[in-house]
Order: sequence, then structure tokens, then C-alpha cells
Amino acid sequence: MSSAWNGPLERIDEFRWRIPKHYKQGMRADAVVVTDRQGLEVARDGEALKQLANSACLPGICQPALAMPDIHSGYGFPIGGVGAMRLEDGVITPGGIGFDINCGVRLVKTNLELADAVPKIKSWIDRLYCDVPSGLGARGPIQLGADEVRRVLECGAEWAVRAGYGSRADLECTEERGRMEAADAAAVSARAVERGMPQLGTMGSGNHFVEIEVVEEVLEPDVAKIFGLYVDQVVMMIHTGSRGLGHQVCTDYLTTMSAALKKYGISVPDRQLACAPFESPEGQRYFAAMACAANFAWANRQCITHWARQATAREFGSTPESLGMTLLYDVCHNIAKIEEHSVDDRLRKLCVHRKGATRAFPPGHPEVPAAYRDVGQPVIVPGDMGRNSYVLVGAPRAMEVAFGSTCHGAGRLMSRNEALRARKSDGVKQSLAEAGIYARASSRSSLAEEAPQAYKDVNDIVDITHRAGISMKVARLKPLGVVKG
Amino acid sequence: MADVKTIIESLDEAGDAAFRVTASSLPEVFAGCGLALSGLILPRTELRGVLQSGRGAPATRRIRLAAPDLEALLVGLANEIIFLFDSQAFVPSGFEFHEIEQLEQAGGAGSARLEAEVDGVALSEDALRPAAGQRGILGLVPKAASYHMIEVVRLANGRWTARLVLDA
Repeated sequence: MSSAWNGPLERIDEFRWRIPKHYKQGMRADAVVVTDRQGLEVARDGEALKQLANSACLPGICQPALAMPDIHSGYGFPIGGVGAMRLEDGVITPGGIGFDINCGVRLVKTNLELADAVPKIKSWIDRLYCDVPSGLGARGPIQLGADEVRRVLECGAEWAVRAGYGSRADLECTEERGRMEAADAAAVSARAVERGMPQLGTMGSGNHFVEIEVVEEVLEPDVAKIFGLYVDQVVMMIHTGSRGLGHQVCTDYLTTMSAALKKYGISVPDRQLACAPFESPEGQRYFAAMACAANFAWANRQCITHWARQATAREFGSTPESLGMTLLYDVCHNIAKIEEHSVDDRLRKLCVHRKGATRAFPPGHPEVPAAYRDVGQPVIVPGDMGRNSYVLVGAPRAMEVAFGSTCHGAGRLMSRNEALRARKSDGVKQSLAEAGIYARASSRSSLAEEAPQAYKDVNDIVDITHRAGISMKVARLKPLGVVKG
Repeated sequence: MADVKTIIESLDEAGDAAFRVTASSLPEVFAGCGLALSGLILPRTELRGVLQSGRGAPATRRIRLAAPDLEALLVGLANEIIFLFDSQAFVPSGFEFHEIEQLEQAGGAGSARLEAEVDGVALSEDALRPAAGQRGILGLVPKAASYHMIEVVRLANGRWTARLVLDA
């Protein structure tokens, strides 16, 4: 269905490749892919590079439009896309953020070691499956009325902590402390709120998961020590987003933005890039609604963390505190934020869109929590179910060449159909079991759709970000068991 | 209702779900798209079993939509189906369109609208999440319908075809 890229790709250096601004009419900036030669060949397949060039057509985009090494086809922006827009004459677009607003990942540490986890992995995963609502249409134990959902939208993870689902320390280790202040619940439709009412504290389906992992290797001991990571330590990774509420916000505002195009005389090469000037009423309203969905996602991950901690404590006959279940960090993948970056040798506030990309701020950045400021922001990069995941750390080069960004995961290789044709869920479960990984899923096909072969190898992706200097490897993790949505 | 002449093809699109539907009329194409999406959420082979086992009850919903053009109308229909599942655990099994049309307006602008009666099944809680040892019956609920590569066109032979890509 998709075609391969046959446009120009100019080598800037070993890890950056440019689609020049003159490539097609309407481009307002160059587009740059951060990857190596091998990764570039993978990126050529499909629509991703065309989408990257399209993203460079948006008004007010700062040089360059970017894609991270896990680039693959998306809608509007490619997955892995980063676009930094000037506030005064730039736009905001739902297509640069995605349907699952603030889809993100967090890592919870434990003081358990591999030998503690292995004998219990099956019952531990089964317990997590029972206690953390997952799957299609899942409804959580928190049933909120519309007014309370609106409070969640404005308070974010802080709502969850106040309700007893975590501690202040969790907020310290969450991007934006789990709350974007721009949130205004009045900007969110009744329909989006309705979708959010039964879904707080639910994982959802698709590529979302709770995974038990072990630190297989420490690659940067000084940083790992500050992050509190060590070999054989068992950790828990949680990946989910803003559920139906966020999807509805994106859907609602794509309609709003489509109408705004004509009003503001903006032309875009793809309907999915519908946008409005950031400072316009439509732009400000979308930013406020997007911030609400982001807050909902942080509250969601916080509630899930609570149940995962409780389930683990019951499994080991202990308490979350005794098991050392503290949060390393929580990062967003799909979001727009106002950040300061150097443009033409001066600091400017920009609206940085990241779609399937992770913020990766370097040592000394004021947005990095005090505990990590000397070494840089933790970056958590999930792989697929059968291979590794990583903890990285933000690096200065990310600020120089990528608006403080890095990759967000492995990046898909196969469509869901292809993955289903290639493997049945039972076969995937068996293969994982043979590799010592116990998997449990809600839907009949999600294991096959999310089979390791459906993804690029995350080891290759983080190797590029490490060698390109935008985020450095700290620890490699290996999965032991997973609950899939 | 989509008749036997409706052709539904799954398409490969990285990471997501996509299909093309070809039929002899616009309502049949829209119905085919609705059924293709419903079949992703709850495979047709599971429908009878769900009703027989009491894990779902027959239900009906009415959908009214307006959009600037047919593509946006199709995106709207798909998003409505996703919303009905997400908020009410309702999965369509048949569509009857009372109205579906594209209006041409002065200056080349257009608008489109539809009104449909939708038969389906409202799933119970245990259908949504299987207990330990039970087989899951649900497939995939896309996050939303996209405009990516969307197409709703009348072919030279008079038939209609539509392509829809869903963010899964």
C-alpha cells in the first residue's frame, strides 16, 4: 500500500541525513533524520520520509524538522517526528502529537533480584493481569463522574497522589511533575470526558503493557548508581497513555483545525496535518485540551503504578516500601510542550511537538529533577516483548541537534496484518516461554500483533542514539514477564 | 445492509489496520466499512457465541453525522463506531442508512451527511475481559480513524470504493 522514498537524502554526518528545503514546494525548513546508513534504508520504506518532508511545510517551523532513529509511518508527522514551532508565527497540530496524547512509559525500581523473581514470575504476572485492568473496553475500579474527571484533567498525577495512589516522590520523578498547567477542562468535549469516566487506571490494548524486567547489564556505572540501578535488579516498566479520552481530544480537534485552515489561510500537504496558529483561539484551546489529556495520562500511569505496587507487595508478602518500589522516571512520547531552545544563537521559547519521540534533557538542565541534574534526564526506551529495553540518559548533543529529543522505542517493521499472518498468538506465547518470558494478554490477537518480529531491534536503535550522542546508554534490561493489553 | 457484492479487503499499513471496501452503492460502501471495523473489534465468528452465551445482548443505535465531504463523513462514521464501543461496549452487526448524501454548495464547497440505524450487540463486562483460563473474544479497537490515504470515490463502472486507515 505504501511506496518507498526516492527523494533526496544528503549526508550531513555519520548520523544525520537531510531532505533539503528545496526538495518540494511548501517546505519551510530542511528535514533531518537522525540515523545511520543501515537505519536509513529501513526508513526509506513506506510513507515516513514523505511525512517528515510534509511536517517541514508547517508555518513557523524551526530548522530542521526532525525524525529519530525509530522513524516509521504515522499520520501527519511520522512516528519518531519532532517539530519545534515558533510561538509568534508558528502553528500547533494534533498531527504532530498523535491520537494517544502523552502515551508514555515509566520505570519502577525494586530491591528484588533475579533469583527472587524467577520462581514467582508466573503468579506475579497473573496477579498483575488481575489487578491492573487491561484490554479492549476495560473499565477500571475507579469510576468517576464527569466533574471529577475534569479535576483529573486539570490536576494530573497530583490528583492520583492526593487520592492515595502514590507519593509526592513519584511526582518529582515525572516529566512536568505529572501536571501541565496549561490544562483547561473547559476545552475538552463532553464526549471525551464520557470516554474517560470509566478508564482512569486502565492500561488499554495495542502496544500497552506492564512488564517485569531485570537489569541485564550496566553500561554507565556512575550514572546507573545515581539512577539506583544495578545488575540483577528487578524493575517494572509501565507503558500506556490517555486512553479514549485522549483519542477523542485528538479527533475533536482535527475537525476544529480542519476548519481553521481556511480561516487562517494555511495550506497543508496532508489533512492529518490540520493546524492553527499557536496563538489563535483554536490553537490555544487545543493546547489546553491536549494538556488535559496529558494530565489524564499521567494520572492513569500513576494509578496503574499503585495497583502494580500493591499486587507486587501481595505476591511477595511485603509492602511496596519494603520492596523499594520507587519511580525512576516517567517520560512522554506524544506531546507538545513549551520549551526554551537555542535558535540562531539566541534562546527562544518554542512549541516542541514530539510524536513517538522522548525528551532527553542533558546534565544541568533546570527541568531535570534535582536528584538527576548532575547526570541528565533518565530516558526509558521499551523494546519489544522478546528483546531488550533500555535506560538512557539525556546528553548535550540532543540540545544541539534534536531540540532535546531522542528515540521512544524500537519502531514497527510489520503491519498488524503481516504480524498476524506470520505468527499466531499461541505460537508467540510459546516462543516467549522458551526464552524464559511469561506473557499474558487480554485480547485474542495482541500477542501475535506485538510479536518481537513485528518490531525493529531496539538494540540497533539505541546504539544509534548513543553513537550520535543524543542519549547515552546507562542500563540494558531483559524481560521476564509481561501483561499485554 | 452490505450485500454479497460488497468486497472488503484488508490492507497492510505499518502498525495499523486498514481496509478497502468496494460495493455497488455509497450506503453499501459505508456499511462495508462499518462492518470491517466492527469485525476488527469483535470478529464476526464470535458474534453468535456471544449472544448464545449471554455475554452480549442485541441492541440498536441511531447515528446522525454531518461533515464537509464524504471522506470526513467516513472518518466520522468510523470514529462514532469506536466511541460506541469505548463508551457503551456496543459493536455494530448491520447498518441501514436512511440518508447518505453529498451536497454541492456554491463556490465548490460541499457537505455530506448520513443517518443510519445500527443493529448490534452490547457486550457484558465478562466479554470485555476474560477471566483466567478463558479465551479472549475481542480483537482490536483502533484509537481513531485517520485521513491517511483516505479515499471515497465512484468508479468508472458506477461502483463505489473507499479506503480507510485506522490508528491502532
